[in-house]
Amino acid sequence: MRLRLALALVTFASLSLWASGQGPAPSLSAGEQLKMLARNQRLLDDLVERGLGMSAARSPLARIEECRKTTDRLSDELRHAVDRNDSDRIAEIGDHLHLLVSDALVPNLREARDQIRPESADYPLLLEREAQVQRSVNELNPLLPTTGELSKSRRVQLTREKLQKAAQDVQGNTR
Amino acid sequence: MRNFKERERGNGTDMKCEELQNLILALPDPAQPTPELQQHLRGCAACRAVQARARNLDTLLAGLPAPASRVAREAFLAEVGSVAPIIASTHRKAPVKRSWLRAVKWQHAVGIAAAIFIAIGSGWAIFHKRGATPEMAEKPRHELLNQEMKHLTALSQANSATQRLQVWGAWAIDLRKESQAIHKVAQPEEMATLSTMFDKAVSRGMLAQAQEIGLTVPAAERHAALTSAIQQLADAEVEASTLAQSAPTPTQKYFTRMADTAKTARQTLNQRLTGKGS
Repeated sequence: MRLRLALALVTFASLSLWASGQGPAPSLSAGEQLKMLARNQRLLDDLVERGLGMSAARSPLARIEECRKTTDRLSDELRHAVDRNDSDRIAEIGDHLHLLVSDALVPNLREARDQIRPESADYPLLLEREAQVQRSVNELNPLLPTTGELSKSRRVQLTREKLQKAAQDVQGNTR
Repeated sequence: MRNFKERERGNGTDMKCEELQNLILALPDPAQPTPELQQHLRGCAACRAVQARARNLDTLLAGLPAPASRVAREAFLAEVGSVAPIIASTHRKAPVKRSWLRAVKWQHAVGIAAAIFIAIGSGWAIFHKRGATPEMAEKPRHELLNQEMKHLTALSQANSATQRLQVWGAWAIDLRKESQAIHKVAQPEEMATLSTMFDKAVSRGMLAQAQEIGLTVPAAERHAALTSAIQQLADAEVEASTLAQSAPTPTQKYFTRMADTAKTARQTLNQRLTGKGS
């Protein structure tokens, strides 16, 4: 009987541990959502502006430039998150940067390389944009701490891996 | 017997007589003990007596119509336990103290092993990452921010005005959802930002793309895209007007502004759809 109780307790504890490691509940109160809005309102508004810029961009070169501006804007957010020792925010912004690089920047870099040949008049501009965007992406990882408690955070470590991957992807798609 | 030999080699003459006597009883033929037993029997009268009893017993058993197997013999011995105390002791389980390990049934052992495995596995999966420190569950993320990033990414790959109009329509809906979610606790500053973003998404996003559609896209596609956008704007107008009534007074004007933005854009698109606009 005692054995069964012990088994049940161990199993329950294991499941609790597992459940607590899962993601957050999806629904938020209005107050929590308002706090998020208050925190993100400038970034959200800037992203709307970047979206408008992206809508008006009619060439991969112009879209690369919009991606670079967005990267720099998110880079500011990443820096602030590091200053606040906020590993959750670091992970969140890191994910957005990763998405931006993999789904927006890299495809446009590829398209630009396909369209613009070395003999093209736009070629020097392509090289310039590539260098700019590479610089922006390469500057992301050094923002993350390599020493101290924050550097040991699993989320920060995962973010570092994602940003390293992003930098490699950009490197692999530029001349 | 192999066990006995091994144990005897290891323990020398320390083996108790009772153990040896039990081994004698276990022999297929008590008249032919192993060399090791023979060595002991030569110096132990008590064990020789047991051997003699065993031989005698075997003779008696051979005369019975029972099978000559060991199992049958043991069963018989259980019945005739009064023959000799030593014989009875071979079949009666000694009241030794059971260790906790023996007390655990194999099913329980498997259960414990599984539970420990789950506990260790869960802990490892959650906390182990190259020396990473254990962390609490991640805080909820702002869904509007997630959606804006997705819309921005979608715009970077959209290659037609129709696609861009759809993206801006979805973007405006997300801004509406945010307004709806916070309208009861809305503060003027946040609502001012939201209504400004909504205005940009509708006026500079949707309307700008709709204008391009008017110039370049086939009529059927143009009609479908504009009709869908108009419906979205009509929904936004109704919703914002309703929310304006239940929102705190300082923020009502922002909901009214959103409703006005949606109404104006809807009217503009309607004119384009019917060919009355430029």
